Amino acid sequence: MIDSTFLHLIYNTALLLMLVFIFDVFVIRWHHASTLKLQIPTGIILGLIGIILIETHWTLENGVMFDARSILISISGLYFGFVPTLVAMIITSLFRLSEGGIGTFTGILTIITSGFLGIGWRHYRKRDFPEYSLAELYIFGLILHAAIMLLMFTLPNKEAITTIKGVAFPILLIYPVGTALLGMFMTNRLQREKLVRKIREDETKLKIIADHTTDWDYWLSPKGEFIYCSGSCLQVTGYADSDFYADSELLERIIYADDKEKMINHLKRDCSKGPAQLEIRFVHQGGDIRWGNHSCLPIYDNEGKFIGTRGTVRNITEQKESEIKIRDKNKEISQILSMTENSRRALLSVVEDQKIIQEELALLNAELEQRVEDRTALLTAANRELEAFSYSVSHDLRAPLRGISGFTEILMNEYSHKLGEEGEHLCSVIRDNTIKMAKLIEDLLSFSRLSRKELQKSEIDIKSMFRSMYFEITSPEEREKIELRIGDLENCYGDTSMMRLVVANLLSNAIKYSSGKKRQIISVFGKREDHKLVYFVKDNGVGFDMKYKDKLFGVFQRLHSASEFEGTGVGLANVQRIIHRHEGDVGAESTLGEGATFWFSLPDHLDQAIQIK
Amino acid sequence: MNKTFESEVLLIEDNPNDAELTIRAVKKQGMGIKIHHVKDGEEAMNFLFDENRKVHRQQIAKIKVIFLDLKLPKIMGLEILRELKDNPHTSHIPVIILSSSREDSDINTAYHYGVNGYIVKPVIYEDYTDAIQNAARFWLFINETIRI
Repeated sequence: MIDSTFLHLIYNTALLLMLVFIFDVFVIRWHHASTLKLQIPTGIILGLIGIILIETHWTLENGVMFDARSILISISGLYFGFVPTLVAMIITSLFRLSEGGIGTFTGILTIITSGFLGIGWRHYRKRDFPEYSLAELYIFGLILHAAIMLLMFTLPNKEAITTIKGVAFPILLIYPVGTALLGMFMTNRLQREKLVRKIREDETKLKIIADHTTDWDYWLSPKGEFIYCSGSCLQVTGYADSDFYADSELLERIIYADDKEKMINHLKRDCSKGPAQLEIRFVHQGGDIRWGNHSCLPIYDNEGKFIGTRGTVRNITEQKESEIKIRDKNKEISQILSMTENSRRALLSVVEDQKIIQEELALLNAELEQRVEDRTALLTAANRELEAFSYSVSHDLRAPLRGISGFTEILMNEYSHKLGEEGEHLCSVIRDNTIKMAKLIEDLLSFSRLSRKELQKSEIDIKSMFRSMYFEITSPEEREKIELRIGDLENCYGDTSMMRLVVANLLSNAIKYSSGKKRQIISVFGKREDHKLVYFVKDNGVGFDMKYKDKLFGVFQRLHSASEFEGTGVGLANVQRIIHRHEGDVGAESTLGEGATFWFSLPDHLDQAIQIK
Repeated sequence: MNKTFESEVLLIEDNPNDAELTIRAVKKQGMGIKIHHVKDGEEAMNFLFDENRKVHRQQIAKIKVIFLDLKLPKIMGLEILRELKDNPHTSHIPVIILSSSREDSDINTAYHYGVNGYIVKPVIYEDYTDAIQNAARFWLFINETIRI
């Protein structure tokens, strides 16, 4: 009997342990999706287990069958809740009913009592997560089975006593313990589930945290392999975390060549000592160089064992580029500033120089003005002196000459009888010389007057002037041997009285120096040239040697002796003086013995007329 | 006698040669012409005016013409001319400049002051004599002037 009971206990225990499995499969799932779809099948399974439990009963001597259904249903009530327990209760009750026997009623009552006690206990104690302590479960088991014991009295009196006698000891001793143990299994399972869930949540959280940072976090084992590599490495380096897990040397390989040694030292030395940081460049998978701030620290477990290195790489490319840009900009700015400063200094020095130059210039100007003033004063004084000289010459020089001339004449007229022939001749020589001297003085004065006389310009019909002047300066006898050819001459612009002098001089020169010819040919012609009017007077006279050209227009310069040609040498000087005062030019060309051509030019009178207007 | 001194000439001339030549030339026009010769500007002014700038009426009453040189010591000829022509008691007396100057400024100024004639002294004696005699003849015998 003991063997049989023991065997049944093992069966029952095994069946009851199935509860843990069912709990695992269903309850923990429906915790997330608590639907009837799961609860009813669970209840059916529980009911089927209940049937098997009832089948594996042991039968007391009085034919009373006993099993562990109370534990199953009550634990179901405690841990599976209302719906599955109710389903199980109905199934097992119906099965028990179908079995029949004197204990049917008591058996069904036992099922109902176990079920509702479990449901009720759960309801009033812990609804969602039924975590009961061992003591509570034991007390629950004790109360349940005590109640069941009382239910035995529902049996016919004789059976009741026998049954109680037969099962009271094992039920009250073993069943509460079984209930408590089974409950503990369930609770443990629950607690583990809760823990797993918590771990999963934490893991998810950590993963979310690690994957959703812009920093790349990793954990290297003491051997240098990746224990953890956050997904953000993809953003930072362009390589996936799997690349790093597969190849632990990738970390060193992606470091920019120039920074590699620094990085290796940093990893091997600095990172094992404590928190360390290093700014390094690395080559992104795409090929471009980026800046990273690598920070690391050694980590130890609770026992103080070194378990690797935690590292973080922060992408600081933008920041670094900005820094570089700022640095460059700063450099630029400081360069610009220094340039500006230099420029300012240069400018200042230029300004100063300019100031000095201006001062010097002002000084020079003042000096110049002073000099101009002085010169003007000198010139004015010289002019005044010249005027005074001219005046003096005209007056003082002529007066004695007049005396010589006059008294010689008187001598000749009134004392001729005393002079004799020789005396009279000498007196006539004196007289002739005074006449010559008078002519010289007269010419000199006319030259001086021309220089000072103010110009009064008007349009001049110079062709008519040549013609009329020709008649003025020649006698009819002279004109007989002269052939005067006057071409088309444009009107010029000038001082009429002075131009008459020019025309008279040139014409009389031409006539004078061609007087030796049987036939004197004098041509007058003109042309326009570069805003200038040029007039030519050509004769077929003696001409002159071009080497004396420069002397032609000098005052009192003569190329011929007085016995050859009369003249004082002032005529051409006057011509030049007049033409120069008209802003023109004079010149002459000749071949000795073949005549001469004298020319003078004047600014185009039209231009002048416009200027005057 | 009276007739002899009816015509009087005032010659203001500092150059003794010119003065002599002028006097000779004038005298050739008639023995009765009296010539007052003064040798500088101051002397001329004293001849014409007293110390109070009043005209010596008696002195100038018979002066028919004044021959005036321009370049004079002390007071220049043009100044004397102006004094003469500005003064109502003398402005009627013909004044003939006898000058060596052919300068426009001199000629213009002289006419501006109201001169009656301007002779540039010829250097040659014959021309000179001709000029003086012609002028003297004209102003002494041909020209009629205001009688005071």
